[in-house]
Amino acid sequence: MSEQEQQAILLCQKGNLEAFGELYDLYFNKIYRFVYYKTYHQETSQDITSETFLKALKAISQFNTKGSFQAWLFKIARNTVIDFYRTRKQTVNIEDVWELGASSDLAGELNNREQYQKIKQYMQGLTLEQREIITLRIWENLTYQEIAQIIGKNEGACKMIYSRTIKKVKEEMNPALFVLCLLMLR
Amino acid sequence: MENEKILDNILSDLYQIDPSFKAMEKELSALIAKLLENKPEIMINENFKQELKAQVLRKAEELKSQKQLRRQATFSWRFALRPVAYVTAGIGVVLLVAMPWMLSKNNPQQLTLNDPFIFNAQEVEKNSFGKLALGDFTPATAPEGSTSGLKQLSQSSQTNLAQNPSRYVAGGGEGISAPINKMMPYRAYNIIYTYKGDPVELNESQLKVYKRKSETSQATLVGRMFSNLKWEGLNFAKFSGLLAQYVTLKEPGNSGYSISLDFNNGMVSINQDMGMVVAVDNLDAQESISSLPPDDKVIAIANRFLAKYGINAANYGSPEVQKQWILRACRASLENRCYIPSSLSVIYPMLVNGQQIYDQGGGKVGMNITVDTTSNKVMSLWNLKTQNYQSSFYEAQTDFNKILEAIQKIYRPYYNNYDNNLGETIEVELGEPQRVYESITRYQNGKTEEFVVPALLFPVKENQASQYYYSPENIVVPLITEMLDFQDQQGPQPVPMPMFESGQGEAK
Repeated sequence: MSEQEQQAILLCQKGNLEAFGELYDLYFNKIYRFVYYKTYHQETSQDITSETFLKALKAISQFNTKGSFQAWLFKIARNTVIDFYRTRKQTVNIEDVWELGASSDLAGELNNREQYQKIKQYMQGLTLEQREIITLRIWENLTYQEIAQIIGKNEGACKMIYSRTIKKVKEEMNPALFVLCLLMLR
Repeated sequence: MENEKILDNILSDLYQIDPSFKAMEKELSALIAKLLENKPEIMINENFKQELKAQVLRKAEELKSQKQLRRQATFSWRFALRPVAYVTAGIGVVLLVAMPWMLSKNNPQQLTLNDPFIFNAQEVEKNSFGKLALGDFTPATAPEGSTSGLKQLSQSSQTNLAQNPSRYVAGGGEGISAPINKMMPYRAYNIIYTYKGDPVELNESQLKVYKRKSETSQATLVGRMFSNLKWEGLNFAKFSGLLAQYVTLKEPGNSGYSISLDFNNGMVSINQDMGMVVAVDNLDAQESISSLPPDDKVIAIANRFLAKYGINAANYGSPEVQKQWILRACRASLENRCYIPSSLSVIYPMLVNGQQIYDQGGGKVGMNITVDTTSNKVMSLWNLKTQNYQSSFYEAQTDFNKILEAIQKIYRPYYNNYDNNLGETIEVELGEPQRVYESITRYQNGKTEEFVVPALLFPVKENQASQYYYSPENIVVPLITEMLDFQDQQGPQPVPMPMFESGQGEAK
């Protein structure tokens, strides 16, 4: 945690909540991206991101400064996403995925609907947890300790799930399509 | 580079988990590199980001006020519930020690105002603000009494100085002073603006125009505070509906700050009485620039000032030190004299939906802080404004060519109205445009109203702008159709009349 971040958290905990603006600036993009990976829908991502930051603002006095603020914030975001699906059972339109601006080779591969169906079937063998750990570790560059805090497992278990998933992908499928499936499946 | 570092970390993690992964290093590297490379680039809507930030900060302000109120209530209850004996025994101590503290810390009269400096816009019906182009538009920051419609007057000192150097002689403005130099007469140019880049797609047929709301809530609250005052010679309570208009408060001592609250215009300025500032002159341009303190030092001083006085800069972009004007001043000096100013201005560009606002002269609009570079103290802050707006959709121009045509009309020098062959013809190339907002004021029915309208900003390519110091650095064109049409009818707006060289532009 940077000194600037620590200072902003302490100020907020002392009641100077305007310092939350700095934390917002530091984390908005990360949280928005994280939520987007889970919803693939712009408006839904905006709603959940708003809720995440407002919840964090209200609860910041309860944050334990010995822990990682990043992990704490991601956990709030993750729980908000879970609540969202629990309450609304929202379905995602496949067309919305195009907003992601995936690279052209991926887009090309997506055109092959038959191949996509095969991969989809295969990917259903991977759990949400496995995909989540891969995304957080590789795309968000979070530590295992932070990932463990977010998904509520211990660090060792996260490492194990991660290594097994990587092994499985490496042995059984084309990595480009794996990326595509990470984008497509929830 | 960043990806390589992440890749290395991930691989070393994997080897720690299971050393057998090492045998697959090549394939794993390829797999992870592919994943990193294909990390989706999600388009973040900057408007949403800024709006949410404003919403979060408003909530922060609300929570803060609630907490303060709770703290006050808790204090009173605890105090009231104490056993009577305790209270009686300690009453003397309370009166002598605790009461002054209570009065200062928990004064029920203490007034907490919600932060009016956070951007907030309430949408109203289409075309609600009436005609935007009435012919009385002036740059939003033009000083009182300035010529109506003076197109190239900019808030930023660099543009101003080049165009109207007389404003900048000692005590000229923005807390910056300069010695009086003889100014070089400038030649009359027939400027043709060209754009060689790709046309920009303008898809939106309607765009939001923002009108700044006049503030009455703060004026009423402060007025009410005075209504509670009872002086022997004057009873404020007898005056009905007092509204504060201008209030100035000053710290004691010669170097204390004074705060001026202009409730009519929703504006705050802070000043320190520093007397006349003397600048060192007679230097060459490069020496002048290199003698200045580094930008980050000046910005750090300004940032500390904002933090110390609890001024919320959430509505503003990254601060910038304004010093281009020093070079321009050197160039504009007939004797090639330059000087080192002993103060520098830092601008915090104001943002609307994440986009910067420019005045009609192409200068950034924002909150300014002047730093005295000898004492490393802030001398003044100005243009801290309330940010409550109404928004209304107006018809927007979607034809990029019409925008290019409008540039020629709006920015053709005034004197070319009389004689198109006056002076040398110069082609000034414009760079890639970007979406910004333009700040405009309208004078109607005795009132000045401020608007922020969507616009395109074309930067004047640097190599050319530096040659013609009377040329603006940026060209700003509003995207609202009726404003463009109006400019079309009006033709060019006046710019300062050049001092013609012998024989040029004489009566025929």
